[in-house]
Amino acid sequence: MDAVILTTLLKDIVIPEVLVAIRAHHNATGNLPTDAEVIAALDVDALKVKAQGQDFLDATRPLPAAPPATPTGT
Amino acid sequence: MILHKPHAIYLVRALAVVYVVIGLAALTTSCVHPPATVTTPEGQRAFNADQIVQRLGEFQSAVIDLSRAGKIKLEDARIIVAWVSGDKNATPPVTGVIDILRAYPASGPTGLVNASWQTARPRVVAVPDLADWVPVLDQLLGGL
Repeated sequence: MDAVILTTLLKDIVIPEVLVAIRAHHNATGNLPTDAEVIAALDVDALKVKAQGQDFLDATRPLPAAPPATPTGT
Repeated sequence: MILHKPHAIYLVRALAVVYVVIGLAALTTSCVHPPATVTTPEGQRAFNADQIVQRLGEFQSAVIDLSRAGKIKLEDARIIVAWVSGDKNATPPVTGVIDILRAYPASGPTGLVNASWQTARPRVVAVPDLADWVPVLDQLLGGL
């Protein structure tokens, strides 16, 4: 029973997961990436990370200190 | 589905094995060498830099999640995130280690990435929930 469950899980979960991970390193045509493609991928991934960081920084940026109150009246 | 106790134990054991295998597969694929179709030194450096950028993205996500969970001071989280991504809206703007890595394929190792990491390292070390990341970042950034 143990072996049956293990075999099933390997076939249905592990192997597909490994294949997905391997395919992630291939381009859309299924070929291995070329030099130009990995250089382009670096830019795309870098911009994605920078955008996430900038969003966080902008959302949590402290408000500028309020200017000192000016006296009113005469 | 009702499982007898022994079957449940087998299932838990099997799942544990599955998670270990998935973890090892993920670790292996995250440390891959450039494929044979990437032939120039610039392309090979870009491939390696892209792997590091992806890990830094995961690190940054972890920092942001910890901040939202209140497990890291917002000020510390902002400084670490700005170290990773830079901050174009700061006065003056801040350059992130990602920007240095984008130049790495053309420049090769200059020591700038490691120097940048050494400035941020004490602040990362000071956060207990980020302790596991320190040796990873040492390994990834130390030689660049």
